Amino acid sequence: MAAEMRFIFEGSGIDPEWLATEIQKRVEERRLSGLFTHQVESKLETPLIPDQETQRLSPIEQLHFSTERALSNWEVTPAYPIATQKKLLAPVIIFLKRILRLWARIAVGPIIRRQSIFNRDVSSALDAVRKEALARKARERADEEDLCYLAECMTDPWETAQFSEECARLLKGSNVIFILGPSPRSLVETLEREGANVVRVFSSDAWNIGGAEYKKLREAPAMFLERISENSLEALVIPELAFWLRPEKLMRIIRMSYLALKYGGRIAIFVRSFANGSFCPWCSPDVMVRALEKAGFSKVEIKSFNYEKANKGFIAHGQKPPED
Amino acid sequence: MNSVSSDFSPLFVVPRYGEDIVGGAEELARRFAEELLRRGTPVTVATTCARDHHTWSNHYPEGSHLINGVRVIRFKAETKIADHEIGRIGQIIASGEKVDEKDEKRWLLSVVSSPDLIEFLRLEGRAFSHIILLPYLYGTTYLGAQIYPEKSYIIPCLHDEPYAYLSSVRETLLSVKGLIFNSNAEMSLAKNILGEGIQGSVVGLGFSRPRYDAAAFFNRYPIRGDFILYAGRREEGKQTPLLIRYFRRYLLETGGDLSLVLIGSGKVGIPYDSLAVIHDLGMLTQREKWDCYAASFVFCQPSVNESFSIVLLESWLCGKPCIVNGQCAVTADHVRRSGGGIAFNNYEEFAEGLALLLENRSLAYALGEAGRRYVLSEYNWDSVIARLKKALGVP
Repeated sequence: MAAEMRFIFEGSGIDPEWLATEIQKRVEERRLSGLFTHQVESKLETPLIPDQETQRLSPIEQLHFSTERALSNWEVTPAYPIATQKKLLAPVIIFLKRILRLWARIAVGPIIRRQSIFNRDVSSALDAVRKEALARKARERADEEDLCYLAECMTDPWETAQFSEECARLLKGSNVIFILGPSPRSLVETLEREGANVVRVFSSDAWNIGGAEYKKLREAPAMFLERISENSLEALVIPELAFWLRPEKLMRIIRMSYLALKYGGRIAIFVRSFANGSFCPWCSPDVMVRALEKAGFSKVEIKSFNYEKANKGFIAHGQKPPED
Repeated sequence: MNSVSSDFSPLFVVPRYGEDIVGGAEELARRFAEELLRRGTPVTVATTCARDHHTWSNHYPEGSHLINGVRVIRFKAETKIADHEIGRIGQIIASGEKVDEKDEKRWLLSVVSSPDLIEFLRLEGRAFSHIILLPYLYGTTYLGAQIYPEKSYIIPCLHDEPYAYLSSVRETLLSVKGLIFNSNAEMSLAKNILGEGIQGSVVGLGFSRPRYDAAAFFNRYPIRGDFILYAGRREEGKQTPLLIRYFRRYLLETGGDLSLVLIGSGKVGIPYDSLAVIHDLGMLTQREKWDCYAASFVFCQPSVNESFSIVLLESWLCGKPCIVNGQCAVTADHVRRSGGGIAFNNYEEFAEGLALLLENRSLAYALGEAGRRYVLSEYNWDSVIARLKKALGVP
């Protein structure tokens, strides 16, 4: 995040002329930096997708795409222009075609009307299904973001030094490490110090204040794993806070992590105890080992440690078996 | 509070009227009527039964109704908007080409008119002290203004668009006793079109301090974090597609933590690859709308066809900075006078303006506050009603 500029506010507000000049200055700087390119424009056009290729869209995208098309094309109309390429006989041919069309309208008109009504009803139904699907998806995403926010509230970024050191040791050699969910600043710093390229997948930037600028992807953990291609990540770090209070999320995230990791890729899950030293029932070391093994991970190990305030914690570490 | 004299009994003539109608002129008529009534003026509204300005089909029942205490008389709307020939003339006019006067009038009366409403004006118009017609474009205004021009006033809600240059429109605007403008920029436009000698004054619309609750918005909708808000009709003429294009490009370039929320009426085409970041909430209740303004990070008004932009001023009332299209004289003038936002002329300025606000929260806050001060000082109801009385010659 760029450092906040200092503004002097006087009178009734900001001087609009000054503001316009400031923006022009920034525009010029960006132009000179080459950031604005016309290549971006080409990416913005909504891709026109041939029928046979809608398969590559996700189901919700496909539903949206098809509904839009149905809503704009539901009406069957016989009103196409009548024309002919035969110049000399054109008046006669067009007259005959008009007569034919008139006759056809009498015969086919009722069928067309019924077909239009059917199409309209189907389009409306599709629209309703789309709205419901989009609302559900948005709600799921908001729930995940809320969960991450809650989890962040209970995390002290400074008490995880041991965890960060241990993670860096376990994932040493990985070029790109993805951290899903709320993560302490010290973890990112430690992993970067070890030479890894760290990508945070988390919506909040609260921990960036005053700190280094981290790369971020705005995505809730489970949603991100759903979208990422299979066998594409080298290493994943997941604080248990990403599924805190949500046992069903634990298995879902672990199973999707397995799919997202490359063969031989590694996963590290960090779990903290409550203040009295006990663990959340579905986050105990035994459960975590079984969950990872159930999803297919091998070489699953637990590394326990104590840190400040007599709290306990452990890292559950596993590897996706190399491809046969 | 300014009270209004008892011989002041205005009649508003507007093609659509109702709480569920989205449209600047319609909103303006409703708010004026309700505020005047609150101050003890007997107000009547003559309108049609139409709700949708695309079809003008009769939706509401005919007859006299009370809407928030205001007497509203609805008449059947007549339209030939679906007629192929009318559509063709409309397209020619919209493209800026000239059509002959006969076609012009034919088109103007065919979009929407109401013979019953005009007959009512003819028979009952004498009973009202002032006839206030709005907006400039429709048959209700064109024919209505001809009946008692000596006591008719038009609030044109004028935009710089081909329709404003029609000779029938010019004839109508020059025939009435006075014109009431929403902003200085709109009056300048009118002077350009009609000549310097027009009888008109700037009144605007009044606002009261709203009550809003940003937290309630986030509890109500599955939207998190900062978002840009657009409110109003979603259509090509309001540049909603431009905003969507700019927003997608901004995200593509910066990967910013930002969503776009669209509220209001009309169909909006959201690209399938942006479903997670562009939210179409449709029509909200008044309470939800204010909460939404309050929850937003910045308000964007991309439209160039504005004569006042009620939504812009509403967002300022909630202390939100605004980004407006610099090619719209009215909104750019609001921004210049208030110091409450940024005007963009192209994508680069849009992106840099947005980035500047996101990086400098104190600047965003200060702009929003400047906007709020502007609305409360310039557009409080006392000042607006005083300006309206002056414009209408009411003591």
